[in-house]
Order: sequence, then C-alpha cells, then structure tokens
Amino acid sequence: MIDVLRDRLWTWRHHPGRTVFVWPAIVFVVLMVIAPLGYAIYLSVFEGVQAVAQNDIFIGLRNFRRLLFEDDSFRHSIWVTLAYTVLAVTFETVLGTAIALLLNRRFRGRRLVQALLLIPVVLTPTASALIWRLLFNTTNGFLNEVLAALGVGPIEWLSSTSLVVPSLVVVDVWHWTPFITLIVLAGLMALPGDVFEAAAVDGASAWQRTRHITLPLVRPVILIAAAIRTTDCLKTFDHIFILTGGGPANASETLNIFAFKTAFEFQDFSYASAVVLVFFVLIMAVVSMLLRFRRANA
Amino acid sequence: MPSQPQDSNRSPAGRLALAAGITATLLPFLFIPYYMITTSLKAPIDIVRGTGLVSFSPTLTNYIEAFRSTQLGGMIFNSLVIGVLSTLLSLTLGLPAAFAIAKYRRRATGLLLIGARAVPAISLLVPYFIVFSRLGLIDSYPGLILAHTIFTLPLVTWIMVGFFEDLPPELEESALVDGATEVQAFIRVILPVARGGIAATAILAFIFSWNNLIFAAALAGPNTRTVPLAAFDFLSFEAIEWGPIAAAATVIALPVVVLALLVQRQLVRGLVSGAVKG
Repeated sequence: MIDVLRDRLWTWRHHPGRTVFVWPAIVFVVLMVIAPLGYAIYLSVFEGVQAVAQNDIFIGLRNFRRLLFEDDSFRHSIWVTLAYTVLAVTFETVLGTAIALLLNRRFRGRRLVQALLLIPVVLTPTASALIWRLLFNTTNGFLNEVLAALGVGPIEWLSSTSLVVPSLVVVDVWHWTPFITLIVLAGLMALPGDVFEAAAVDGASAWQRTRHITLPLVRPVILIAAAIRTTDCLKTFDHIFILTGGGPANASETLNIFAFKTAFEFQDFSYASAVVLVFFVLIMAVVSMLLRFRRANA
Repeated sequence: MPSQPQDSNRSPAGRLALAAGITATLLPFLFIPYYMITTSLKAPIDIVRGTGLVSFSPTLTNYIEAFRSTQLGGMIFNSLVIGVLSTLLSLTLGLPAAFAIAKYRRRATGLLLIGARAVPAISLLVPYFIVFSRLGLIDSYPGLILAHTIFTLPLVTWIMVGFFEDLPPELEESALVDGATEVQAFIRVILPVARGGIAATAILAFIFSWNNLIFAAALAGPNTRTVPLAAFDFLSFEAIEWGPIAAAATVIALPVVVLALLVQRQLVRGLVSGAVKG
C-alpha cells in the first residue's frame, strides 16, 4: 500500500501528464459505486426510509438480524440462486466447450459461424424473454405443440414450481453458451500445434489427443470463462423478471429478484438496503474465491 | 503452426458430416430469432391456426399494432439518447484509463475499474433510487446516463486494456520524442491507431446500455422509458396478440443484433481478449 502511494507520488512529480489519464474514471467510480454503497450501509441501519426525506428511525443492526436469522424468503432465495447458477454454468461450460472443440478446425464459413454465435449473446434479454414466454406457453406454446405431436402431454414449463428453475436454466444456456464457445475457441486457436503433431505421429487418436493434450492446455481459458459466467449468473435479472417475476409462488425468486421486490414492490427501502448489502458481500466473496482458485490453478 | 486439421484432409463424407454437425449445433441458437421474426410477420389468423414456420404471407400489421398500443417510438428515442451519451461518457473516462493501465501499469486502478463490474446492479440501484428521488433525478436523462455508465465503463476498460497492450510502445515514444506531452501523444497518435477497437468497444457499450432493464425499471419515468420496458406492456396478452409481442421483441432486439453483426470480428476479439488475457 505504501509502495503504491510512493510510486504514485514519484509518477506525479516526474510524469505529471499521466495522472490525468486515470483520475476522472477513478473519481467517477468512487462517486457512483463506493459512495452509494456507503450510503446503503447508512440506510440499512434505519427504519422507514422513503423516497422523500423524513425522520428515519435509527434501529441499528436489526435489519440484518431479521434478514439473516428470521427471513425464510431470503434463505429460500439463496437456494434458488445457487441451484440456478450451478445448473446453468455447468451446462453452459460443458456444452460451450464441446461446441468450441467441434469448431476448432479450418472450414469455410467459420467466421460466419462465429458471427452467428454472437446473436444469442447480444439479443436483448427482455426481447428473448418475451419469445421464450410464447414458446413455454402451456396451452399453445411451440414446445408443447411439438411434444403433443409426439404424444407427450403438455408440460407446465413456467407454472410448475419444480420445473420453473430448469426452464429458466434452459433460457440461460441458450443465451450464454455461445459466449463460452467463443472464448474457448479463441483459446483453442491460440494453442501451438507442435504438441499435436508429435502426438499424432506417435499414433494417438483424435479423442486421445483431445482428452490428454487439448483440454488440459485450454483449461485455464475454460475456467476463466466459467468464472465470469458464474459471477454474472448469480446476478441474473432480466429474463427471470420478465418470464416469471420470481413465481410461481417464489419458486424462481433468486436473491436479485428478492432484493428488487423488497425495494420496489414492498417499498421497504431500509430493509432492502440491508438485503442489497448482503448480496454485494456474497458476490464479492464468490469473486475473491474464484480469483484465489484461479491463482492456485494457473 | 495452428493446431487445427486441414479441410483438404477431409473426405467428402467427412466434410458433409462436419457441415451437418455444425448446422445442427447452430439451429437451436438461431431458432429463437427466427421464430421471433416469423411470428412478428404473421397475420393474427396465421398465428392462431399455427401455419408452421415457413409458409405464410408476411404482413406488417403487428408492427403497426405494437407501435400503436405502446409508445415504442418514444422509447426508441430515449434508448438512443441514453445509449449514445452513456457510451460517450464511458469512452471519455475509460479510454485514457485503459491506456494508463496498459502502458503505465496502473494495476490498482485496473482492479478498481474492472472490479466495479462485479458489483450487483441492485446494490447500487437502491441507494441511487433514494438519492435520485431526493435530488429530483428520477425520470431524467442525466440520472439514467450516469447509471448506465456505471456498467459500460468497466466494459470499455476491460476491452481496451487488451487492445492498448497490443500496441507497440514505439508509437507513443516517437510522439514523445517529437516533443508532445503524454496527453497529446495519446490523442494524436494512439487514438487514431486504435480506432477499430474503439469503434467495436463503443458499439458493445451501446448494446449493453440499450439492453439494460433493471436501471430503467426503477429510475425511469414516463418521459424516459427505454425500449426494454416495452416488455411490461405485453406481459398479459392472450394468444391472438402474439404477433404484436413478437413485433415488439423484434423492434427491441433487431437494432443491437444488426450492430453486433456489423462489427462482429472486432466484437469477438474484444469480448475474448479480456478473458483470454485474464
């Protein structure tokens, strides 16, 4: 810490032009991220905070005690978030890597394929959620019509408490698998070819080469992609909100949806401040765990 | 030497199998946009009848209905204004910062700016809502622009650090030798060279601003509704209204998909460079 400051002072004295490069961005982040988080801490120790300033009652840590020890919805939302994230990231990583391996060869139109794979990633989640709503519709959605043609009864994709999370995972897998594919594919294309040639000369089959050489070499890239997805998946909001709004009966209420509802549906801003702070701490804990895991494996 | 099998080594049967495999893989991912566009072009009676996915005569009535029943036009305008301005702001803040992180090795700054991406939006949204309400910034362009910049800035930084690291140091050095200050060197030499990456980054930032729902859901008002909010107007429609829903979805999604395809090569490179370089 002292070294950083000493380094900064030296830089400021000898290269004064450089400090101006970063300070606007730093000030912005302090103002728009650090300060609001601090303000959330302040808000969370009060009761009855409203949009209009009024006499907020100081209640100390009672919001946190209620949240961590007495709120079943909070605990339930953590389970939902974990289940959703684990399922989604696992499927996306496995599927995404498999597709990347498939595409890791020279063929005409690979650029086109890469471009087409971008589409699910950038397609506005709100828009795709609307379409998935139509597809998942129990009575005349496309999926159930296809199943009906095969003689399978209508499936309540979004209105069954046991199926709603897997259905949402399907949407997430559709949306983000190409993201993993594109990253892993770039990692694959960056691998040096000599090792593969030597192995081929030695008589290793394609599958053996993939399993014992390719995958271990590209593992760091796969892990980075999975780590990014995990962090983002825990924070998923858009399509869950549009498809189910946390329902049916809170079956798909992730921590993010729970926090949003507490603030903007129940208008309980002081309690909501405690919720979002706990959410923030949890996400940061996961991120630092992932970073440490990566450093240990790199 | 790349590690990939050559196409010429493949037998015709092998090539066919590969093509089939790749097509089968792409199909589920492209089905959603395909279904979206075809449904939006179907007359209501075609939708109810379920005339399949290929044979129907296209019509624009759903789009007319979608624009009529919500203020899609106004929302598009709002999303454009907020998207462009928040992109400009995040470029102004992020490009110099990314350059300093890449060339002057300001790692702590990098950690701060890119780490801001990990902060959940809702954790900022609650204090924003209280502060903005008390300052009268709800339903205002500045409020939403500032909020959107919070997550476009880390994106810009993340991608451009990779691009700037790839630039040879001689570029800046030769400008400095000629007597320019660091800032002048940056503006006159570095930026023009990096324009391809900057354009792709700007488009990606705009896409993420356009797509954003959570900030608009809480901070926007009747004058600043952005495009994703149109979804709420269509949530309770019955089967016969599927056409306008699909039309609205297409209007929401098509601009960003088109933009992404225009700069796809740079976009893929940008998305990937941050991750592969770690």
